[in-house]
Amino acid sequence: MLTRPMADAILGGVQRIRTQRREMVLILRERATPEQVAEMLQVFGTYIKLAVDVEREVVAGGGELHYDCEQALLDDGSRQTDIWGADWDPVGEVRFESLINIRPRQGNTDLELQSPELRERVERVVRRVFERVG
Amino acid sequence: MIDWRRLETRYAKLEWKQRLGNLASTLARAATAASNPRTAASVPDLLREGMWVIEWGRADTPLNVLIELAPMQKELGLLKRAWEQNNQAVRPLLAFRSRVMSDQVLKLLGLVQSPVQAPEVTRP
Repeated sequence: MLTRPMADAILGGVQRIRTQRREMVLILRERATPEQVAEMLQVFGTYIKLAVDVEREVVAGGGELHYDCEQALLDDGSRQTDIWGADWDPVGEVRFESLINIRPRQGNTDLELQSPELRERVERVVRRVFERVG
Repeated sequence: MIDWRRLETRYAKLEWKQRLGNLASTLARAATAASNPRTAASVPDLLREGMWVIEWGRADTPLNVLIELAPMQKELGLLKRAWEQNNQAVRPLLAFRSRVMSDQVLKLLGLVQSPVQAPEVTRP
């Protein structure tokens, strides 16, 4: 039986989930490669839409919508409450604006992540995966 | 295949109420298309268009409206996914929910009083 660690070893920690016809969302558990970043940048050119699981410290990136990335993480076993939206700009900036962040029941009533603690957790995971790539 | 960038350029010229008006008609069209086998193939693109229209409105749609639209984007995505897996089973639900969401958008615009107009019933 193929276990998750075995699959990760085979796939190099990366899983591709097809969300629609045009693009692939990548699930990243460790530092991205320059090729993966280039692939995800094909969607918008200057930035990458992400969903971040702050508990499992896993990132999904490269979808047209944050929703696409969120669904990829849910398919991967994440809990809805642990997933937040962000963008990675290759100049080294993390942004925290996404429709999937509007979750009044979890205390976030804006596109922007309002909790400084949560922003810090999201940013830490994103930087671990994307910073100093290539 | 739909050119979403081109569509975004067109939608960008609209103010948020006009954009939401288009969203309501797109959702109503999805409801109608789902009910007719001859037009059912367009359902996934209509649902995706609805998701995009909500996305494109992030910058200028009032926050109280956006709070209503954010879960709607998610529901459209889930309906699209269910449709692509088994459109026969999900057809009535999709047609119903798309119509309800269309009415909900019209209500946000102040164009209808209630998302579903229930008929008056007199008890015997």
